[in-house]
Amino acid sequence: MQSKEGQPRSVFNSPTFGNPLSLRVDESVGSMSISPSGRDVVLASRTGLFVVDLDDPFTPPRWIQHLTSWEVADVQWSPHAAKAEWVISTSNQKAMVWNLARDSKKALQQFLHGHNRAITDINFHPFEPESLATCSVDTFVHTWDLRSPQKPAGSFADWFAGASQVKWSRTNSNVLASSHGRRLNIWDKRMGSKPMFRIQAHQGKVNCIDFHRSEPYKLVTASTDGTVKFWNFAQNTEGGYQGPSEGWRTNYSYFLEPEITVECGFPVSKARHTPFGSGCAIMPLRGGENSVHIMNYKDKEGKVNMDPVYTYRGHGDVVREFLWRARGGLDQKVDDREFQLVTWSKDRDLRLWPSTPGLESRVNFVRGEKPVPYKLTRRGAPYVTYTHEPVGTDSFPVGGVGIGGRRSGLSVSPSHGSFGGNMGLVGPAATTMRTKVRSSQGKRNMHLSWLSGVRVGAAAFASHYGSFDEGVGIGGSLVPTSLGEEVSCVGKTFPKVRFEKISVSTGQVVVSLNGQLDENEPDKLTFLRIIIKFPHDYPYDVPTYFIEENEDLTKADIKLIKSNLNRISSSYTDHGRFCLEACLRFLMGEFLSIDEALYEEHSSSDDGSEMTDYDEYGSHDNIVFESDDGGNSGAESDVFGSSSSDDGIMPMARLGKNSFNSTPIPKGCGAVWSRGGMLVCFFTHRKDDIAHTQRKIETNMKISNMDGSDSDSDDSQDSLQNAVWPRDAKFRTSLVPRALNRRVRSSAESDTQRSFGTSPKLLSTNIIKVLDLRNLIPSRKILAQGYEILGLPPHLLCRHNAAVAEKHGYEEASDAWRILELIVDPTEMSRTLDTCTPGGGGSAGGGGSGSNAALPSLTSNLMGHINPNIGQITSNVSDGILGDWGNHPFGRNALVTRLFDYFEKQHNTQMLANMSCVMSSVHQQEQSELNVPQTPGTLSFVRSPGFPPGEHSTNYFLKSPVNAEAWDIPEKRKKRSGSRVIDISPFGSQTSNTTFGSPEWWKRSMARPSSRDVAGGTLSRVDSAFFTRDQSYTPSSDDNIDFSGLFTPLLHRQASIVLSLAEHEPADYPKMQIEFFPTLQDTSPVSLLDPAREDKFQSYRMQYASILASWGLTVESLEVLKFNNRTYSSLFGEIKSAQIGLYAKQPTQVVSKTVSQQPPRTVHFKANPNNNKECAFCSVTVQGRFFFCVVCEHVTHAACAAEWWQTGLGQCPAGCGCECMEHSIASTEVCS
Amino acid sequence: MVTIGNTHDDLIHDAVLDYYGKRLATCSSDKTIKIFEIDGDNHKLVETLRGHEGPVWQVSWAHPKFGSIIASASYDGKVFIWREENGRWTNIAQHQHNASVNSVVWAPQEYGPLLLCASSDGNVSVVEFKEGGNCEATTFAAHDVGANSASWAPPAVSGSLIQPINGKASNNIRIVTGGCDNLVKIWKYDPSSKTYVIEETLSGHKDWVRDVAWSSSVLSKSYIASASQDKTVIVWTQEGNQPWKKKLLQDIPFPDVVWKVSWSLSGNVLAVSGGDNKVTLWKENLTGEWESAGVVEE
Repeated sequence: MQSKEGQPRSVFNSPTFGNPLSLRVDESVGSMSISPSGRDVVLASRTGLFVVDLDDPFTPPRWIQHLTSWEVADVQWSPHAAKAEWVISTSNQKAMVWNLARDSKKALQQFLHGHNRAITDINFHPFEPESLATCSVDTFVHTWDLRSPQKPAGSFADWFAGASQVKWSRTNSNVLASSHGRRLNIWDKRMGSKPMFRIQAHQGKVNCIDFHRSEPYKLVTASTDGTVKFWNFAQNTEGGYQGPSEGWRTNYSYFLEPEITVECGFPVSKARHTPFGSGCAIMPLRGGENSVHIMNYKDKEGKVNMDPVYTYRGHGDVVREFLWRARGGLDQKVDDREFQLVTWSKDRDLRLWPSTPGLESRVNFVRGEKPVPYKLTRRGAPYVTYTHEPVGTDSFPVGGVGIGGRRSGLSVSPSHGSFGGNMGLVGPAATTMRTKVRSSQGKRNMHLSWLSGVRVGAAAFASHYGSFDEGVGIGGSLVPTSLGEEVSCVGKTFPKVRFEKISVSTGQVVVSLNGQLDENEPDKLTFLRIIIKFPHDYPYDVPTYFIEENEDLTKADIKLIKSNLNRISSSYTDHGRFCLEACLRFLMGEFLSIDEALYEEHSSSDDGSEMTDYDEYGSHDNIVFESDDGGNSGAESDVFGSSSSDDGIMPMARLGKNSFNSTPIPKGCGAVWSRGGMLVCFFTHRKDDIAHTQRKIETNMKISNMDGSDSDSDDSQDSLQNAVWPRDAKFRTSLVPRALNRRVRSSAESDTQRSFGTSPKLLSTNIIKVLDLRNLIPSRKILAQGYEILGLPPHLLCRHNAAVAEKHGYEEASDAWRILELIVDPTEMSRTLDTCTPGGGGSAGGGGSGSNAALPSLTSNLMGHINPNIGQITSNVSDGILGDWGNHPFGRNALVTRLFDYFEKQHNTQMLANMSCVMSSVHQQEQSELNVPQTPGTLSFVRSPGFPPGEHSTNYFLKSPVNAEAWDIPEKRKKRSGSRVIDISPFGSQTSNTTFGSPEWWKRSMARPSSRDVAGGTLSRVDSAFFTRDQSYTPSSDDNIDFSGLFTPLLHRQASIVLSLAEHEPADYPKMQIEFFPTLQDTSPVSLLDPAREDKFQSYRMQYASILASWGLTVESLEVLKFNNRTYSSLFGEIKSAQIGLYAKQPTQVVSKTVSQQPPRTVHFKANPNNNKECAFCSVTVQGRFFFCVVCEHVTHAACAAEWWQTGLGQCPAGCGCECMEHSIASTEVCS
Repeated sequence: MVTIGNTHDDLIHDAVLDYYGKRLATCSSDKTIKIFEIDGDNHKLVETLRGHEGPVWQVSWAHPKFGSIIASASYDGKVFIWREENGRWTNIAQHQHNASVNSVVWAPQEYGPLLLCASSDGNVSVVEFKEGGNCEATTFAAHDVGANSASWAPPAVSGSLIQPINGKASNNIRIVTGGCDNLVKIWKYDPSSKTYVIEETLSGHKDWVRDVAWSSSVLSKSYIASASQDKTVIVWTQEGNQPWKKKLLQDIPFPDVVWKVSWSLSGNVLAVSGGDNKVTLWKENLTGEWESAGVVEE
């Protein structure tokens, strides 16, 4: 708010006329009045008078102290130019006449004591500067002549009801009106004994009277009964009214009808003619939206509803007083006046409202046409402000604190209290504080707190404290938009910095502080006083610093400091940001490292550390403005964090006293992956086009130009209807618009266009995009749907998967599957090897020459990965061995590992999991099926097809039928002995039933080969006559056998075989086959998957399963999980899986169900053909879902059980009398 | 591709798809949370959740096994839990911090209904919602000036089969947090003291850490990405139990501050977004370097 220098101040270049301004005055102000020049406004409160300079709102008001315990009912500033310095206020029954041109201590010129009860209203005579009228509760109306103030010049009394309002007629200097209760009395001062007219005006108390300014017979009254009535005595025929020149005839007309009765709907506190046109301003006593309504009464008659042509909305509480600030009209012949509404509300805000161009037309006021309809008394009033103490007395510009003018006997209490104390602090909890100590601290506080209450422009009407119920965002004043605000923010943040002088209008600030100059000596503080001159264009222009010399500072120091300050401030102002705080921090924070500065609450320069690195002053941004560089991204360029301090700004954040708000700048752009591979991005769409926003400003907010031309008033009728303030446009909630606000300002000239932000819709349009980026994710849903991991022999699975992958175009995956196909299928091995030898086929990458299924040409990556391995193939591979790839380079150790590594690098969980599933089932499949009859006691050899006879015959052995001891191997647990798998060919679904003598080796035999780690176990030759068992068998006394492998038929068979071996007489061997396929090398069948990495595989599968689940492929997900849940006995402690089964033993044996983790005494169920359980209900062999009674061990189909027990009988359908339902266990599923 | 424009009246701070990718929750400075249904290219606003008194910074969907639940964190220091019942969303629980809550994220479903909140009062809290509706919070001080972001480690499979969950597998819960002290810290739950103890402090950023994300792929390496206002993103990797290695995502700094990093659930693609209003995607190539996999602009 800096005036254009060099030009004399006049109302025409007032920076605030026509622009919104809001001042917070934390006093219990009773009344308000305006000076004739329109420069100052006086507010009267119980503590005294406050004179506010409207042109320089940053200057704290002048306080003329007058402590009373009485609410000031009225204050009036003389409207006459000749007496422009007189203000009259009430103090109970006395009226005080103040002369503001005098020093505050002597401002009270005289007082008028004539009433016995409290004065309720004062009114200056419209024509005679020395006359005024007062009215009081004692029912009297006194007229006074200030030249002889000892007693009233005239008195009129109603006798019955106390007077509430008195008004002189504006057209007739002898007539005045007063209201008493519901009555309205019109007096002629020449005849004081009784009123000219006494009218029962209203149904409720009359609150306001206002004469028409140019028509002599008209006046308007307002009442608590909710009506505003327009009276016209010219129509009073009874009295034969003649006209002003003939005086008023006496007439008692009690029942005069008003011309217009306006129903307002709320009790009206004030209704006055507007000084222009045919409007009437109506102010409610309560309700009425806390606003001032303007209505046009022209051409209205009878009873009408109040239909405002304009409403000044925005106050938080009821408006207590309003007045018009006018200018122009200097030439009586041409009415070119403009007006600005000034309101004072109970919410302690003094508001100046911006010009409203369409209003005038609506009240039929056309500027510049007709002559001014009445005499303007204010013409000629000097445009000076009375906020400063008159020159010649001791005063200082920073808020002339007057000790208070009073005469003895009038003041109630001795003077003390600093202005600041009485001003109160700005804050939600602020109440008027009276500090008894007047100190410089107090003065500074006062000035700062005043500054923080000043809001210019757009910010003017936002709520100060971000109260949420008003819908305004947090931290209303966090971001300074002007020097004044910044100074006030900064002042609060740095209590130890003294602002010796703050003059916002001239832009000069003098600060003094104790700073630390020397980084090495943290305790040495140097006093610094700096005079900062802020230019007009601040914050777009660099302020200048002048550091005062003192004895502690050397010239070099000064120079250094100054250059640093310049540097900091220029970097800020380059981005158009306020730099005062940064500079102050630098001055003290020069001595703090950045981090510590973050912690510093009081910016006291006690801690010292090294000099901040100037390259890092960018991070000052973080301290100060919480943002990055680059003014383009608007959101950050605001003080969000640091400078806000007290609770006043964030009432609900329960921060400690002055705690540092470290909430980071909110992000405006982000991207989040969804589970399914979709990327959700959101962006902020910012309109940086200033011209565009400028245009929008005009259409939306309708700011008129200062020169008074009517701007586009045609569109947006609505925006006129309700001057809804930017407060509603929640730009305060976000920081972006503020930045844009400033940016917009930069383009506008500083004085004229006061843009107060655009509606947020323009600023922060936001865009959300949901992108399908599944192509970046190697795991593909299509492939998942196509892949199979169960049900076929592994090589067929691989083949199928390869085909699926190829079909969808994923060559790499397809190649990988084909490789796998080759290595999981031992029958292919020989051929494969053939093609793979270095000599033949030219290595794997060459594309084999084999007729079929040569190693596929690998995609380059895969090839590169795997290639190195291929060379390791030794020459003896070419004898076409078949078998287990286990330790072969193509097997677990190298190729597989490589494959896994490759896909891991690609993060292709899908391939990883699928490969691990397929490969883990490799050895489930038997390679051949032979039925070999056995003779007891002999070892028979079985040879799997494809092996050239003879050569390998020694490598086979067969399991001998058996001595039971042979089966006692269980005890042995050699980990890596040569053990091998007993793979047993499929038998069909038979298994022997049995009692098994040693459950342990159920387990063992069940234990699946994939966990085998038989490295180098030699296949003992035949003569070993038995095979050492897989060390992976854990002997345990518990009967845990995991049937999670139930889905693999092999298990059963295996089990059964073993069992049958054990059980039956050797002679009774059913077909039994065993199978092995050792390789020529000493490897015994080894799984392709390294059990040591089993947990990895588990995790692959788990992850993949969860991905599948989120794709909705729950079945596939469960399939994958199945692989996880097999037990791998040795490496993993207890087997944890649900084990449910039937222990087919004598019925008396106790069986119990096991759930995981319980000490298992499990029951093992085997679907054994020789002991088929028949359904107790229908006698059909039970396969599939069944119900089993634990007690009686009868089995029923699930469907049969449902049918049976639906009838409600609790007993077992088998007729055993057992109450099965009471012992029921869950049914389970058996694969057969 | 769905584009939704101008839904909120103010800046949007987060947009998250639910587990199935069918619904989108967005939150904004206008203090509301909006829920959309996304179907192919169409979107439809289903609900607007009001109740916060300040800008809402983040929302997080819980695992569907707990129901249709969203947690939201706001500047007013509150974390609200909303649940949809019969098509209507209601606020079922609240949690309060002393200052703005900057991030909120649900734990992997294996750990149960745990919610991790990071707040500007420097504390990070893990709220556990128990049966019966009450919740119990474990709060610990994480970063001095303020904690900006926190993320869960994926449930680890380390050597043993997955622990059966009865409540929570209390060993091995780890979280990573980033804050205003420029540090990234890794915490581990300590059942004996029933709180989280610091396991590792990773320093490398020169400015506030705005976002941390722990990749959920459990492959041979663990990955944590941290985004900072110093315009860099650092990817920290750990193999096994070795120390964490630091790697800048890009040697040259980004054009503007980086606000958010997000790992894809599989495939480990990192989406980075920042002040320059662009989203860049990064994938690790076979040699371990990070290369750009795309840019998304508004």
